[in-house]
Amino acid sequence: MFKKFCTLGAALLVGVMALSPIVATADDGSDWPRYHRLDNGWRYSPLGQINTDTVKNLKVAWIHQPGDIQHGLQATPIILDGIVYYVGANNNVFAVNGASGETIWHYQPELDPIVRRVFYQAATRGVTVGHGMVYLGTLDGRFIALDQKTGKVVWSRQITNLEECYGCLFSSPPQLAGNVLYGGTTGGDQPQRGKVYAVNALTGEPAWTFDTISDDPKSWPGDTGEVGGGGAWLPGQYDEKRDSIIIGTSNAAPDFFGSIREGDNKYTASLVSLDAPTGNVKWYHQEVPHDVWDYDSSYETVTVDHNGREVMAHLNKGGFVTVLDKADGSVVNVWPLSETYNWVESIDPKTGKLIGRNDPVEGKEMTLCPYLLGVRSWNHGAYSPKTGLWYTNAMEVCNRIIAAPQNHEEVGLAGLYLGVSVLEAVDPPNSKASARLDARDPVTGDVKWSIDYPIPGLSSVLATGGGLVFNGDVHGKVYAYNAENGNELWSFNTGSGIRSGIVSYSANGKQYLLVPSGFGSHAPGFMATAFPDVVGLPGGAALIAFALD
Amino acid sequence: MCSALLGQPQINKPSMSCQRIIFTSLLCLGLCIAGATTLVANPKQIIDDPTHIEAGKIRFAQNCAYCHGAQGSGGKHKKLQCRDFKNDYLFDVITNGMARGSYFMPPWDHFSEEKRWELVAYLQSLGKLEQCNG
Repeated sequence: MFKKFCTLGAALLVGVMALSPIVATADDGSDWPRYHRLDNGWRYSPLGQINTDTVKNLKVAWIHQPGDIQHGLQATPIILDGIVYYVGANNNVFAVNGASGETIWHYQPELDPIVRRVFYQAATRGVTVGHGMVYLGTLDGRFIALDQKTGKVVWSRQITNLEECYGCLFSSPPQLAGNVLYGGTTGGDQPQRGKVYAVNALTGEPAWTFDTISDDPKSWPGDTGEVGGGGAWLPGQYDEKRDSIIIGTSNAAPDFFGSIREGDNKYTASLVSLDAPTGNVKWYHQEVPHDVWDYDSSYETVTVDHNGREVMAHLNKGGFVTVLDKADGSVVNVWPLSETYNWVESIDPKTGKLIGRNDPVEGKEMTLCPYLLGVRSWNHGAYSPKTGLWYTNAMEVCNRIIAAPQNHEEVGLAGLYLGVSVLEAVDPPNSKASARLDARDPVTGDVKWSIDYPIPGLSSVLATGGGLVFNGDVHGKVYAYNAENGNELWSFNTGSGIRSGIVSYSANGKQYLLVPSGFGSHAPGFMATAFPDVVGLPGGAALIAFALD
Repeated sequence: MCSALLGQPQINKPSMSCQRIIFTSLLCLGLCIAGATTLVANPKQIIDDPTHIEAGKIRFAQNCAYCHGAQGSGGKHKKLQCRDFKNDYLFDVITNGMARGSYFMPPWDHFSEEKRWELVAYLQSLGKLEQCNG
């Protein structure tokens, strides 16, 4: 009888916790509770203490160093009630006092030695906080829940087996959708079958798995899907109104050699809406059917109101932004961020259909644009509701490739299954490789202003209620621009490149700008022939907080 | 011991093939302790052979170029062209990987020794490019 009572009590408790809000009900801007601050993907802080007039007075308030600099510091911190939660290299998780920079607690899991043998080493894009816990996706394929106050392990669940599933590690924080914790793995460029995994956020018990590789033989003939890549390596976003998860999937593999996998290769290179409790597909839009250019759909969605309709602007690596209805995934518009694309002639703005494909041909040297890092790398843009503009880094670089067969059985744990015999970043035809920060209308793509960068910016952008846009470069400089016109108002040299999420929060009534500085990125390896000055930039790792005097 | 390892009935004296197995095992163990030494009889034959260099070139493009740059032009770390490397050093790094500061390189020991020497061959050929004389 007592056992039944306890079971009932526990069930009631779980039910109540499931209904509890994950974030503070009153959003005064003091927190940065989710990866993009909110699941609308804006990366916008409404705080205005640091503004176009006062930003010139910013000073360093404190610095926190995680100690391990391997592959830099790539996280977007989470801030709740003045406490900063972030993760450094090799899954070192910290809770830090947001006013003083002092460590409150530190946790590092004992990682499987296999993490030293994989391609995507050391770096993670953040942690997630909710239900009184701090959630980590590990480099050796686990979800771990830590007590938010103490950093002690509450539960740990092994999700993937890296010996069998190459590249199947978590390089991004799993996200919350109610009391479901979900996340996808890396590995779109590796010979594996990528998935999105979900567990009960309170207990770690498995909830569901979404296979990004469809089992339709017309989509994936024979067993090509088993090494078809896929996965979803960036955080998804929760549509709380519809209890849906919106997540973008990886490219298909082998990346450039598609003749062995004829078919549309669903659901790679797609934006998918999943029912949060079950993982069932509600709708999907495959932006690049039969992807043969490594054009992932993994990047963030930005939700805005358009003529009374909730739409999402979504950038695909291939350089096009698709604007979709958030309710049903129908296409509202498609516009090019890339100015030099040549992989298609165009994309139908009403349907998203590709027009005039330019597929790689086996043995033929071709220049394809954009290159495999895309018109922008994974570093996110930001949207300001004050200006109605989306601010994003962009670059114009192409691939010189020769598509070639590659034996997937010879691809090691750290190898990529690209299907090329030549791969080199080059200038676009008739122009030079270039980079910039754009301010654009997210629905139409109209440019408001643009600033040239000598080397592509690899930091995520921040927009603020103080009328500012913050961006970082690969040398470590963080810039503040006037959000309306792009005028540079302030900069600071942090000493090592910025590959992370710049955020803002307040503690004890004071607004802070928080810049995770410290270079580490796979991008230089791919882009160096187009941007030689990116070679050998210094590494580092320091979380730097700025405030006004 | 050898028979037990081979799952065969115990015999009093090790056979010749068993002796060879024991000898080879001990030799391998010694070499492993000594470092990433090769069992390829003459690596120089691979390093100087154009066919092996070409094989290494393709393997480099498929596995190494995305960190080291196309043709070793540099990427995450400085360029591999026009350098003065020792063969054994290259073989060791390819086999075991390395970590230095913020940089890391995973091990590529899943490739056979011959395939790793082919990569060494290609890398050494990058030290003889025309631009290296300038």
